[in-house]
Amino acid sequence: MDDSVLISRYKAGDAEAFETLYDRYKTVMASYVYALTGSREEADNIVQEVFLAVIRRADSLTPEGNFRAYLLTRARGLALNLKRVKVPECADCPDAVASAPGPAEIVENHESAQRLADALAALPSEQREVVALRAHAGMTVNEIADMLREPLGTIKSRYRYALEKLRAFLCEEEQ
Amino acid sequence: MNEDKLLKALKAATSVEVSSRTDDAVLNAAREKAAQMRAAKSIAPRRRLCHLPRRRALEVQQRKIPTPLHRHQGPRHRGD
Repeated sequence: MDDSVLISRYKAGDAEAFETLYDRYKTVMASYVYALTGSREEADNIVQEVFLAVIRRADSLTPEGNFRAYLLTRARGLALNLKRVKVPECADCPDAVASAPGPAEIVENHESAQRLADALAALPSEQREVVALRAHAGMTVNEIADMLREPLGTIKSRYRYALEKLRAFLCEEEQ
Repeated sequence: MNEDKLLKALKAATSVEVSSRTDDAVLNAAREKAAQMRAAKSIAPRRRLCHLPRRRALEVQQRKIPTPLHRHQGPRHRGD
């Protein structure tokens, strides 16, 4: 069901509509904030803070807007304002990356998942952010450029460099 | 590894779940707010009639008397 329908239902007092929205975006937001901050705890706190703010202002929510971009922008603002942006140091804290079960045929075991997480963590923060939005939120480069208010060309090049580095990193690891 | 596979693999490898503490806090707040919004809606007056005398207000409420609000919604009469 569309976000706008769920928002309208929630405004009419349907709590289950909100639960659907929450389930849809909580992991996306947490994964994105984690890519920005490198801290699971802070990701958790920021997800909670953003959703509680949405609930407090539920009366003034507009169903027409892009709810996903709204949530992610607020989460990003909190992550950046708190000056918590740092590169995740996954080598020192192997438990920092959640072991969410993924497609078995892609991530065959914990080792390959850890390799990918390390590769992502090694990217510059601007490139990591774009990759996180593509991978977790499923956003297009156009949508990312709109959300981050950056030129489309900048986002495209960040994404291209990031993919090149990730592939190179994975090739190096395999050799 | 092609782009789609790489993105799917990254998603699977770097997904972060929120804690049950956050789930509980958010969902309880959402339920409370939903109840408040339902309550606010149920006591909202259908129409503002308080500017009319009590008897007239009742008649309008029971739709015995057409008001300008009713008249413009219905079919136009000849000579209107």
